[in-house]
Amino acid sequence: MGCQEIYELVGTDPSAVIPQRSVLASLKPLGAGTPHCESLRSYYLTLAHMHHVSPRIMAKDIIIPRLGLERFGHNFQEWNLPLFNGIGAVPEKWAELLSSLTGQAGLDDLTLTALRPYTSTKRLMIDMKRWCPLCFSEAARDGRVYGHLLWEIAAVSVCPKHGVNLVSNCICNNEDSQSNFSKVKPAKIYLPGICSSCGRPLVETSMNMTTAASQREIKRAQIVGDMLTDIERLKEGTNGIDVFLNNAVRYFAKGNATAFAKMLHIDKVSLHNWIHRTHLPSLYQIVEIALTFQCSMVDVMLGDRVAFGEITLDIQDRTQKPFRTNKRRKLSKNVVKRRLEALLTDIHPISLTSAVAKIGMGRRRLRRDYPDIERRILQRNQAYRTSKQKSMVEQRYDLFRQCAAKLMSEGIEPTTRLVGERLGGNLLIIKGKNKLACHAICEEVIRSSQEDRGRQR
Amino acid sequence: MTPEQAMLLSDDEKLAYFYRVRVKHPRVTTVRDDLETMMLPGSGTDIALLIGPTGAGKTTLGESLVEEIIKAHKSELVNDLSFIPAIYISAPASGEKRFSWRIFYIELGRLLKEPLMDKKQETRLQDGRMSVKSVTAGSTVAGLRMAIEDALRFRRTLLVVVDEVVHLIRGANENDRLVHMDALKALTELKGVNLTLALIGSYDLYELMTLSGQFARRCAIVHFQRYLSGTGNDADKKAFRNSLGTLQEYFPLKGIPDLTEMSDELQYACVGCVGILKDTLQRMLTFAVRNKGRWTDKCLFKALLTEGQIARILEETLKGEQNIAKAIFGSGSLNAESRTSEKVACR
Repeated sequence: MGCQEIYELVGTDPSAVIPQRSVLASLKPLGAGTPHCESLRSYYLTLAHMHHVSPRIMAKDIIIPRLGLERFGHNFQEWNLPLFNGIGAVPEKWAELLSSLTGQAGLDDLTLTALRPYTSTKRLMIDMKRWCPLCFSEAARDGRVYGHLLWEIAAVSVCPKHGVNLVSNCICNNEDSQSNFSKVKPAKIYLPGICSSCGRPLVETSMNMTTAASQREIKRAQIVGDMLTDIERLKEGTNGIDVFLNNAVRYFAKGNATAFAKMLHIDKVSLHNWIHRTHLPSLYQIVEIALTFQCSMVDVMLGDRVAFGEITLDIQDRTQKPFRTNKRRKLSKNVVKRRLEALLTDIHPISLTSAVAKIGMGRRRLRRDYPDIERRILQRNQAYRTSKQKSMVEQRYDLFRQCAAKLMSEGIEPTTRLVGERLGGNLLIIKGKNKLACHAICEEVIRSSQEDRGRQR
Repeated sequence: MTPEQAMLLSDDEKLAYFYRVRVKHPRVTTVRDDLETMMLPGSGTDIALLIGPTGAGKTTLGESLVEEIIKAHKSELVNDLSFIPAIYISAPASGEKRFSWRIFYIELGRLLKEPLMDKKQETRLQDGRMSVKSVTAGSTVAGLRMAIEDALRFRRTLLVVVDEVVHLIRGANENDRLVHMDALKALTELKGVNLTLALIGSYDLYELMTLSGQFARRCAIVHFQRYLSGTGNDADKKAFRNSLGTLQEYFPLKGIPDLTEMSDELQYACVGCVGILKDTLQRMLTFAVRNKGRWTDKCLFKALLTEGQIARILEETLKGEQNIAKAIFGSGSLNAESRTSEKVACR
């Protein structure tokens, strides 16, 4: 038959089949190995947004079943927990699973899991979203806006790159978003660099809120940033902070642990526990030790490579600012009562959470010691909120009625849908049980208009 | 598997084996070269319309083109686990009057390995505010579209072969067709995507070219022509005979006479289309298998198309060939006299 090569048989090659692909997009984390490393939460939120699914749905349908954690009542919001980027089992499992789903290795570097043998979870991560608008601005220019792991660490309150305090409020917090009836209430969007409440870019809304940071705070942030850069060393390390402390006690206090504890402004029991590894210091305390000894945090945690002879102790401002700066000062009962009563007479009722934050006491203590005042604050706030909501709904009904009347005057018979469209789309008022009331208003407007016409005739 | 080994297979396996046999003939090579040229970055052509008569082998070519691209990016596929270089999709007939983009996007998402296609949420940007439309009763078409756009971006897809494009234009008025084509064209214009669309269909697709000047500029027609018979077409006749010979080599049945001796008659009976020839041989094998593996002349005659079928296919093909004569890729000319379209426009 003499077939030439061109008449070959095709379609039988197994290499022409696409091998197993990653379930999720192979998104590259940003800033890995630098102080500006992306956090796992930011990575996860970006990934969910790339796939156009809500982070909750992604957790529910992809992550949780694969982690084997599916159970009744699971909230699927683990990615929103403060410790999501921390040192626990959750970030470790999530990072490992996301690595296998995206094909991107080393996602555990986006968490602090490498610090697990060295620090406790106490005051590790902060329970609020913070950001540097200048970093967001730079990232927006470069391509993708992302949240930094550094911003989520409680010991850091400034941006070491730009020397400004981190911002935690969007401008929308100061706006009364309910005041405008026709305003579309956006569905919540979870994306780094976007305000989840108002949906506006945080670069625009918070750029004016930046304030210069103190040098001490910048240094603190830099030292933590350096630790994130050097996090690989921690993974390989075998020693603990006990080695550093033992050597330091010997060198600086001639073996006298009590004197050394005084030097660090901590009690000797804490020092004893750290040296004997019965307790681990918090990250904040490790930062303070590193600042005192003017060495890196990794050196403190690993206890090696430290040449104590070259160290000049920075203990001057330690005397003014002891370790436990964040510990709440216990207020006397009289002062607390006076302040609480002042809150009750204030024009603007506030919530219990705000009240305890203002006074500077715990909520549990408020309940235990001042149950009456707690109840009164709660009732007052509830009454205020109910009345506010009621007036708001009334205001919306009035606007709805006006718009329906206007439509009627234009010769169009008003319907809930028409009025809704005229008022600008997604109205809360014409949803749920309020819809019936809207129907009634439309009918009332039509009836009254017909009656008017009848009278005129 | 060699043809000798295939002879030993069971009847069903023989049928399945021959069904998988595909032959690469000169027309395939030419057309594939044209398509690959269009796929080069910066070629200026985003959409290739692969047009040809029914049974010419367009679908087979589309599938093998995808396979070739996958093979060419073998090492990249190992390094990047999210990479899907090329996909083949058949535009679905929804069973409704209008083309269903929802079904199309869902199928595209399945091929792009996009998870949770039923829960895609639409992202909106209004007055500088981003918001999402929460998913209540499944994904919206807009949500699906956005997900597909991002999937094409991160899967770095280079080629999407869309077969049966006639489903897009059938029953649609001119405005609808324009909307459909804009939706397809927009996929190739995405930022960060270097995508070429290859639309496969019969001669009806030529109408798409005439929808708008913008569309005509962005797309090119590649003609998958049949092998012509008659005097002066010796090269075509030889190519058809060789294709027949190759297919017969892989025919898993003994005792068949040399079919190349009746190549001219078979070329007429198959309208010069290798795809129709392959279907005929497949039917022939089925009849022979049903006849307890014994070959008779009846097997061939039963498998051939009827005169009526041939006449219908030929009529459509001749009309189509006439229509697209001046629109085929590579048929451009600088000769002003040949520009009949310009003359018509001037008048």
